[in-house]
Amino acid sequence: MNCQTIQNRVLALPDPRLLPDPLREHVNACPGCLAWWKQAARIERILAELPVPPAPADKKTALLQELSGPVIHTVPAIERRSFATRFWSVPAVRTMAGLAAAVLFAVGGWLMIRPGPGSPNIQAKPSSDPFLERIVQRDLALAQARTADQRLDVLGSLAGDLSTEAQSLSKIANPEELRDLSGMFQKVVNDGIVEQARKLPEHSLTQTQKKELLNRLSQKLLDAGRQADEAARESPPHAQPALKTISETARDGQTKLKAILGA
Amino acid sequence: MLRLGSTMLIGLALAAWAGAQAPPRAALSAAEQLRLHRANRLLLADLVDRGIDLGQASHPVDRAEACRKTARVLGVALLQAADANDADRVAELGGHLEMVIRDGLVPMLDRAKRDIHPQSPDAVRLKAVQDSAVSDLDGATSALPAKLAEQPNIREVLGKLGGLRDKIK
Repeated sequence: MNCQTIQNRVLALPDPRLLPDPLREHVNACPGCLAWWKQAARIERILAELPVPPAPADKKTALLQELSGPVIHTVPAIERRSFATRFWSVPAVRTMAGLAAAVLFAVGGWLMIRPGPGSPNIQAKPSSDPFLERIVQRDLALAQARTADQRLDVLGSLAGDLSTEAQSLSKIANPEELRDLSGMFQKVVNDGIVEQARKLPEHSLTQTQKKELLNRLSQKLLDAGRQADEAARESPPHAQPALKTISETARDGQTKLKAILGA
Repeated sequence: MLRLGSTMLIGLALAAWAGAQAPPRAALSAAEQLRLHRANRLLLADLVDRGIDLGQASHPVDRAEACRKTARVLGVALLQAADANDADRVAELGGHLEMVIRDGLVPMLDRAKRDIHPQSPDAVRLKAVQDSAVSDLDGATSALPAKLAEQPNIREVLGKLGGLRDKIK
């Protein structure tokens, strides 16, 4: 510490006459600072000894009357706003807080309703086979169909289901399983659609109705064949024969339906 | 008030959005689809054959017989599932069997009974179809082990099938 620092600290003391030990060590050893300190102590002592004249006895009463007079009626309350209050008063902060609360609400709700690690995984083991259900529904529709043309429509849909299933399984099923599906498709087209179209009762439909029905079936077969062709292009080699069987059967069935229509 | 309402609205919208993120239950993975296809491979082939029969049959008795055979296929598969102690599959197949009998066979038999003369040879054939259908149904349901038959979902299906038995007769 140099002399300037010491002298500043002496000035900052409540009473310079009472020197703390660290300052006293320096002051005792430094003639300049000692003289400066003595001067400061003397001023402090003189100030304390200065006489203060007494105030008039009625001065206090007069002052209070002056303050409570017409000049000041009420003292306005100064709003003491904490930091938190001022923080919340900002509109953007309130909007952001609302959104954050909404997100927490949504996430909390989702966490409550989502399946936990110990709960059954529905996707892992479904209780039913959607494809089996669809085939049962087709059989039921065939049982409920009153007329031959209604049954032909259902058979067309059944062929479409089988073609779609074969395409869907083409990348993972083995050749034998795919051959089963293409075989079912062949049966439905040849023994079902084409055979029943040939046996349509002569007068059950008008020529226009018959044409519409067979065109509708042709379109279904055309779609099934095209989709099987497309699937064959993206499928592994072992799936190609089954998909080609489906597309060839579809085209063949289409040709036969056209022949029936032209006959 | 406006702030509270808008916050709740946003919260509900976000909750709905979060709920919609759950995977669809009906969607199957490719592996699961293949597993189910393998489990049902023979049954599917039989049902397709029966469907072709139903598509070919036009006489009321022939149609009733084709529908009975469809129900029988499901009944046999149900028994196999019971032998394998597969309760889920028993319930699934029981549901399909109940639907085919309720919405297919029973109305078909009722219509045939109305359309066929009681003293005709077709009536005799129709009676044979009815008897066979009841026999098939009894065979499928009475052979279920008690442990399976007591399960609530299976018991419910069995109750419905029992009611349909009377309608077939």
